[in-house]
Amino acid sequence: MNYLLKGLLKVERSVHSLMKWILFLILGGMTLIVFMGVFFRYVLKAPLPWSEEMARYLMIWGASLGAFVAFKEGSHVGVTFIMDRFHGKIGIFLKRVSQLILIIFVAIVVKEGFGLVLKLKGQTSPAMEIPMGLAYLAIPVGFLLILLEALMMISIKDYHPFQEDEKNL
Amino acid sequence: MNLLLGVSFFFTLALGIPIAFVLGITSLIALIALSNIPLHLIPQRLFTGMDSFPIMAVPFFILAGNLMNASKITDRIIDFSKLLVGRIRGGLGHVNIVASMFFAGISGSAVADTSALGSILIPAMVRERYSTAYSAAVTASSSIIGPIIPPSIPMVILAMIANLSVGGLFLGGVLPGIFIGFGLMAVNYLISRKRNYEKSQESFRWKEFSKSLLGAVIPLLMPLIILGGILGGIFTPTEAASVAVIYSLFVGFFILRTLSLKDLPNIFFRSMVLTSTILIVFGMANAFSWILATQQIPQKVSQSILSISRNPYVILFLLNIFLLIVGCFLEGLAAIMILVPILMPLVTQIGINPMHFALIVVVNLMIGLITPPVGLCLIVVCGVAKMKVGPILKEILPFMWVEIIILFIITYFPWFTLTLPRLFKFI
Repeated sequence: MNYLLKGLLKVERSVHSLMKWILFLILGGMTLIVFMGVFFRYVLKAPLPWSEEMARYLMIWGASLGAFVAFKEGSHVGVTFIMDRFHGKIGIFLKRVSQLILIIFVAIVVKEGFGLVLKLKGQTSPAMEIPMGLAYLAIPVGFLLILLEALMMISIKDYHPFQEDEKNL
Repeated sequence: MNLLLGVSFFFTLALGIPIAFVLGITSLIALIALSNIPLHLIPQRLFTGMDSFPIMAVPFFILAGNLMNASKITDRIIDFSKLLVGRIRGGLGHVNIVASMFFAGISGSAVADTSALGSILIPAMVRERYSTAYSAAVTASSSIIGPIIPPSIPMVILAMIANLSVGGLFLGGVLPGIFIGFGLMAVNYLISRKRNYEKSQESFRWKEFSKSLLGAVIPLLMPLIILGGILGGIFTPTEAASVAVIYSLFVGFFILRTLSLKDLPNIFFRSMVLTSTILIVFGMANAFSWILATQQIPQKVSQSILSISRNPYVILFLLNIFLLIVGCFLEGLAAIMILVPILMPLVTQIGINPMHFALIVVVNLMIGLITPPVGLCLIVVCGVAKMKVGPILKEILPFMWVEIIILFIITYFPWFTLTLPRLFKFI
């Protein structure tokens, strides 16, 4: 069991650094694309028709994957001061209830999200003419990662996801 | 149905489930109860909510602020503020407040302001024999100016939800932000005189002044680029924000040379993660407000409030009190996303200018950042000052009261909020 946990933490660590690079590239790409859009319109007088759409879809992917990282680190804001009052068995019980509710919800979003992607088959985006499903895919993928993370948190006793100290810039 | 919505919302909220998921779960339960709408409405509304170009100003403003902060721009702002107000009684307290006002011009979030200025100014203030709790209180209470003076993340979000102009809201925040700054300085002056806090003995030198002014020009140019670009019709707020990012990269690499390439991935990564926590709430709120709209909750709320009074003054008073209480429990951005769609129809119905109301909401909910139990700035400043909340809270009270008084003054004198937007023809 301990062996398995160690392996998991290793995977966790590499997923974290992978996410770091993906999100860096996504936000960097968004910045460049939007800035280029301004440049092409004002300086070269030749607006780029695809820049806005591409930046938007990148942002949705970034938000979905970022939501997974934030979930891992526990940085989604919630109201915790009520739960902080409960200690011992009742506290653990309530914590389990909340985790269970969350897991059910996230699982439904994953299922419905993939369903939506399948439904959109054949539709293309207005500007870039890429499959719409590619953009919509961000949501079930992000939530699937959240689901896996939540399942590990509830099922493995000493599981603490990898975190960096530089959380607060 | 209303009862079901209410119970599932408050139950999941009380369980400590993050607000984004609370909104999603409540919407899902409502959809199941309605039974004639497919459940894929949730991922769909989540997607369409986030699929917006105007909202992209949020990641860019966060990123620009983080880049500026990483290039040690804070030191320059503090140096300049010292020269401006350092010689008044309670000097470093004033410096803290004025630096917050300048910092507000490069960052749109109060939490960034708290940690950036607090980590430098709290130790500095303690060295000058201010109490730690007082130093922390000044830091936290002045940092709420961050999202009131443009650029501002809550205003970008509000503009989206209430269909207002970002440029107009940004301009409208300038005077209230400065007003709050001066109000806090007055409190700091009175308390410092009573407790005999320091007064800098350094004499004023023109040479030093011009040198630090030069250093401060770089951060001060940023709000001018943003506002100037938007007001001049050169770019949209989102484009302005991307230009602000490029500007801060340029400053960090070529002018100050304090930024290094190897810091970049982490700064971008952190900014995107922070953005995602806001966007996910925004997307889920998009599903949630759809449900509320189908159940005609906004209409029902306005009816019941209008049955108490139809006097705009009374209603604004009640709404302010309500929002102050909400701000104590709910994070400001989430409160905006949930409540503004409900309250806006009511407000416009009784003839209050929507832009005026939006600005009141921002100032009001930002005060919530320093009130317990869920004041984000309060939590951050506790971390920075390495102190428990209790003693800081006691020192925050006079500042908080002044902010609440200013909130009510702004509420009843729309001059503060509407003069600048009117001047630039936004209304």
